[in-house]
Amino acid sequence: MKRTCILLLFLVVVLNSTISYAADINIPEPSFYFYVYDEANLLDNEAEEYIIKTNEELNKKTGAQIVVVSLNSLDGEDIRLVAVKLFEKWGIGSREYDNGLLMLVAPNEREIWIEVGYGLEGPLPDSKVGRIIEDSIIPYFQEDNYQDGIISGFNEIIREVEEEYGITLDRENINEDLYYIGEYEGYTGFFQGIKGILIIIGIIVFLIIDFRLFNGFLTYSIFLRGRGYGGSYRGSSSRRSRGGGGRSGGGGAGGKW
Amino acid sequence: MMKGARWLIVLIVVVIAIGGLLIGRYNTLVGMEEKVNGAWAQVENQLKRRADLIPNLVETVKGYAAHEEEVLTQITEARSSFNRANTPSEYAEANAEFERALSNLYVVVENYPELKANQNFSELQYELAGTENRIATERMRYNEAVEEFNKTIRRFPTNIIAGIFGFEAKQYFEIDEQDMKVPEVNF
Repeated sequence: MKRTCILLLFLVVVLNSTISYAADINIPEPSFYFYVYDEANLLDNEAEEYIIKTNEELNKKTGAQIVVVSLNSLDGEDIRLVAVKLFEKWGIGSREYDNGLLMLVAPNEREIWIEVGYGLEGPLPDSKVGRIIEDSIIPYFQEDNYQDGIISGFNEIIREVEEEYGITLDRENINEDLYYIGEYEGYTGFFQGIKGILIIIGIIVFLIIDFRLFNGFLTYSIFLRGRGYGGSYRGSSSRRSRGGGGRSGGGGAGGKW
Repeated sequence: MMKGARWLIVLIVVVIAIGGLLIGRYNTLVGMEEKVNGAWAQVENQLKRRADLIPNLVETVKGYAAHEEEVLTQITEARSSFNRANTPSEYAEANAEFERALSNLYVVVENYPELKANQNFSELQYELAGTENRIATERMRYNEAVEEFNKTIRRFPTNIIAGIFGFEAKQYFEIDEQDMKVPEVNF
C-alpha cells in the first residue's frame, strides 16, 4: 500500500514537472504610483505629480495608461528590447484594449524609445511617434533639459489620445505652470529657494546622525538598494496604481541625441 | 476477499489518476500548440505589413533616384520572395534578403539629400524601423513559444503522449546573426 502511494506521488510529480525558463534581462518592478518610474531622477515632484494625476484621470475615463520610465543603465541591452520586456512585465494599458504607452528614457546612453501598445497604434503610428520625438522631445534633451522634453512629449501624446477617445482631460487645473512649458522656466519663487536650502540642511543633518549613531548604515542601505525604487514623488494622492495587463508588439519609434 | 477488493480500489484510483493526468497533459499540449500558431500569425502579420510598405517606398525613391535601378530591383525581388514564402525558414530567408536590400538602399540614399529631406520618405523610414522592431518582437515571442513547446514534447512522459497524438517539433524563425542587424536610421 505504502509503495503504491509513493509510486502515485512519483507519477504526479513527474507528470506535472514544469518547464524552466531562461533567465531574463533585469527589469525593475513598477513604482508605487506606477505611471512614473524615475530612476535617473530627471523629473521634479511637480512634473511627476502632473503625469500621475493626468494618468489617473485618463485611466478612469479610457483605461489607457501613459507611463514614463527613466533608467540609469540599459546594461548593454538594446533599448527596444528593454522597452518591450518592461511593457510586458508591467502590463501597461487595459487588458481589453491594450491601450498603453511607454516612454523609456536612458539619459546615460542618450537614447529614447516610445513603445506603443497594440490598441494605440491607430492614433499613434510609428511615423507620428517619430515626429513627436524629433520635434518635441529631442530639442529639449539636446540642451540637457530632460524634464521639459519629457513633459512636452507627454503632452503631445496625451493630445493624440484625447482626440482618439474624444475626451478632454482637465490638465490646466492640475498644473498650469507645467502645461505651458515655455513660461515655466523662469519661475523660481522665494519659497522654492528656501525649500532647496532646507532640503540640503536636512540631508546634512541626516548624514551626520546616521554616521554618528549607525555607522552610516541608513545611507549605505539607501544606496545599496539600487534598482527597485524609482519614484521620489510622495504627493497628496495615496492611491496605488497598477498595470491593466495591456500588451505591445514592438511598435513605436526611438531617437538619439 | 477483503484484500482483493482493496487492491481493486487502488488499481481503479491509479488508472483514474494516470488517465486524468494524460488528458491534462494532452490539453496542455493543444494549448501550447495554439500559442505557437498564434505567435506565428503575428510574425506573418508584421512581415506582410512590411511587404506592404515596399511599393510606397519604391515609388518614393524612384521620384528622386530613378536610375538606382539595382537597389530598387533588389527590394522588389525581396518582396516577391515574401509572397512565395511558406515555412518559417523561407520567411526568414526572404526577411534577410529584404534587410540586405534595405541597407543597400540606405547607402544610396546618402547621395540624395532631397530624398532624405522628403517628408514622405522620413515617415516611411519610421514605419520601416517600427515594423522592423515589431518583427523582432513577434519573432522573439514566437521562438519562445516554440522553445517551450519543443522542450515539452521531448520530455518524459509527455513525449509518449506527443508520440501517440502526433505532435511534432515546430520550426524556429531563425536568421543569421549577421543579417539580424537592423539598418541604422539616422537623421
